[in-house]
Amino acid sequence: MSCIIIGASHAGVQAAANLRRQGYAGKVTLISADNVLPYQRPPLSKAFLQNVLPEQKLWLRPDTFYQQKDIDLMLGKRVTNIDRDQRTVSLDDMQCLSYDKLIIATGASIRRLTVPGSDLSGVHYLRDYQDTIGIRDSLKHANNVVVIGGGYIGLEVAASLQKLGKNVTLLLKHDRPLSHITSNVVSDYLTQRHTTHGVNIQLNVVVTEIIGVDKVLAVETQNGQRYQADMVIAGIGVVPEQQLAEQCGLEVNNGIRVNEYMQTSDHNIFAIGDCSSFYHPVYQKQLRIESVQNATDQAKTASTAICGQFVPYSATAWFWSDQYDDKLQTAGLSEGYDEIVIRQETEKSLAVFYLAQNQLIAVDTINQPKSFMISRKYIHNLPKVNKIILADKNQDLNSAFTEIAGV
Amino acid sequence: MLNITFILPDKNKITVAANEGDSLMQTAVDNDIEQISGDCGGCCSCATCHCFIDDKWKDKMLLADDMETELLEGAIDNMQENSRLACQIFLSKEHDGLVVHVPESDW
Repeated sequence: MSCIIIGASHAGVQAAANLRRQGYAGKVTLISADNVLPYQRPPLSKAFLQNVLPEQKLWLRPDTFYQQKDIDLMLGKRVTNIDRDQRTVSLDDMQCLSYDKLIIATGASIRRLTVPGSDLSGVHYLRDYQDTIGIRDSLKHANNVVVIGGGYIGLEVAASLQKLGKNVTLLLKHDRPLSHITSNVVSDYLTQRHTTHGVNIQLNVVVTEIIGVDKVLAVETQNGQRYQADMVIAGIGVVPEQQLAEQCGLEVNNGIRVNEYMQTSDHNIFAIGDCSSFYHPVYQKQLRIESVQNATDQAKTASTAICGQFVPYSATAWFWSDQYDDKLQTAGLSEGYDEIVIRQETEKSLAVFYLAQNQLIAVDTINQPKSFMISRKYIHNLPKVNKIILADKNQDLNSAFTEIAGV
Repeated sequence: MLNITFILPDKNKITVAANEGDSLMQTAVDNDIEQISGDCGGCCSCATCHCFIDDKWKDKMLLADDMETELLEGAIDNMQENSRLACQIFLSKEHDGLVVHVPESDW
């Protein structure tokens, strides 16, 4: 009996640990393309980028963990092929390994700039450990940094570099940051905070060229502006890493299609984390979620199924982001909301509740962790809520969920 | 190295060696204490590392800050005076022998 896990980030490591916790007696092989111990990704754009988190605290588990749990951790190896008939995987060093169960936890890969000059030295992306090490190294000789992209990565990188004393310009294609995943209220707050901290944030700008000779010198936008740059960091999204699955004929469509137990169209093969596309029974739609929560919870569902217990995946999505001294926390998914309710405690503490047909589907909180936590407890079944209590900072938020008469 | 004892929900005791400077959450995760998952990696964002500090040790603990207190108040139904988030407790020499009660995971 053996289980091979391709990918050793949050999902892969959690799956391996869980198999052992649940008494899986077969061989467990965890294959990582990285050359370093499996690590946490969130700090790569925050504390680790700022060089305030020592390397040994970046590791998901100490090296001894894998030996103790009898997990065969293979570093610096890439899987090149999956043979479903033979139930084997081939590695780039010509090894061929057999599996009974296979877990694909390959994550996502960065989307790259395609404008002229994108291949100049000094253009960076941030996805893995080596990326952050490379950025930290280049920052030693950089003062003016242009960050492209207004998602979590762009915003967190801008905040981190500002903390490091760099002169930061943040270029956004859309009219506000996090435009696809949050409301104007949260976007506007973030825009204002970045501006207050001295980031030159430019909205509605399309990058047309990276200018330089060998090395980047400036970024040009469609409106003819040029922004001086000693380096450029682009955070313009990711695409699911589904090539191996596609090659061996598994069903893919913006991610590897899985059922509620994380099984692909081949039931001996599972896909979890950023690379999986799954149907969420509560939100009643096909989703692909890029988050630590989704990675670890799907890992638990898959490993539990491999150990013989089939429990459908229906976890509540949640996220967090730290920028400057602001803590942004999200529970649920706000897409499709038709109403928002705001609970403002102070100028720097607010919660934005997202409702669809009077049901709470998501909440974003900024520096209001208690509201995040209470909402996360209740939000699982998209409850009806008392909107008056939601909005009233002087009333216990719990009662918004328990006293819904008259709503 | 410091000795830290976790008393699990089934009353089993596990004593582990911890590094000075590590958080209590990191120590638990490194030693595969299942109920303490520390999903956010220790940045005080998720409350998945809730534990109870044994009463005999409460004087050796720094007080929880506002962020931790708010998370605990929001997250934990069975919150007690000695409830803490393990990610916010950093271990030093004076914590050698610390006893921590681990509840069933709230999540």
